[in-house]
Amino acid sequence: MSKPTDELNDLGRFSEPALLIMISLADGPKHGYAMTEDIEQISGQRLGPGTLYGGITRLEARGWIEPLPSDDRRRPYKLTTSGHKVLKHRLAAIKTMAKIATSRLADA
Amino acid sequence: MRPETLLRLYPRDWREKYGEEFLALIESSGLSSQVVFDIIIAAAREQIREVPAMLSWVPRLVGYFGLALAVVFAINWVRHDLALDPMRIGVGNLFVAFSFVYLSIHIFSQIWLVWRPSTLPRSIPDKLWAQGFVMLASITACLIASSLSASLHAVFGSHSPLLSCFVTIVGAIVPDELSLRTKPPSIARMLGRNSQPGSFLGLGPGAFP
Repeated sequence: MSKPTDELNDLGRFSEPALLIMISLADGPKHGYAMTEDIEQISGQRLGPGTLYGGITRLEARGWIEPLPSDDRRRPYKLTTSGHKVLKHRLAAIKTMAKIATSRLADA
Repeated sequence: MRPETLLRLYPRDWREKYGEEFLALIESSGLSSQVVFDIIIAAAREQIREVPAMLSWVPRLVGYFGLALAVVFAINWVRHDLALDPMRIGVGNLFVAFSFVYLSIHIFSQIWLVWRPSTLPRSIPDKLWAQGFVMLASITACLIASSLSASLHAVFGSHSPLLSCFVTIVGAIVPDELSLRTKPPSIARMLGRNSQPGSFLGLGPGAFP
């Protein structure tokens, strides 16, 4: 069985946008435009609508995010429990990788 | 370009699910050339993603097989001067006809996936199994017809129908460079005569019983 971190990598080109979307939703539900703004603030890159919804489509298909009911045209999304778990594993892996990279840089 | 036009590039199911919020996002963020490019690429990816999900493995396999055959026959047909080779005229033309039929179906289905009207019932355009069966039927019909044509040719040419049929089909698939034909068509043309039936793969006209 593959680990949750591998599952996020399975998204291919969308693995990075998907990670950014999940990070954006970590502090609460957001709709598309709010996600774009938030992602630009935290990462410095503005995701195009196609890339953003490509990520949302794939994350929703895997059950890692889910839409919330809304009367507005803009539908908010939230992280599911399994999405929360996947994000936690992914961030732990990034943290370990960053730690190793930092120590190697210090040794060099 | 209007956002609604860009939205139509996506598969219908996707449009029904995300269309409204997607348009709302485009209206909020604006439509630059970079955004248009991003949407076109993403829409193409959604189309590619949706097609395998709609097709089960059998029609997909038939589709790939048909596409490979179409390409092989189209290349082979262009490279051969079929008029010089009576054995290949029937089989070559049939397979070229099949190639065009197959490619037309393929292109039509792709256009249909993008532009199909949302007012039609979902079950009709989604039945791509039908497309698979059409392809399979086309291949089978072409093989039967070409085998029949080769057999008839062999009967009238006093050759073994079964062997002649096999040699004809192999000869239609294998390009000249790979087969061991004794005389390339250009030489035959220079000599002003047709190549003989059964002269493929190094077999001379007298090789058949």
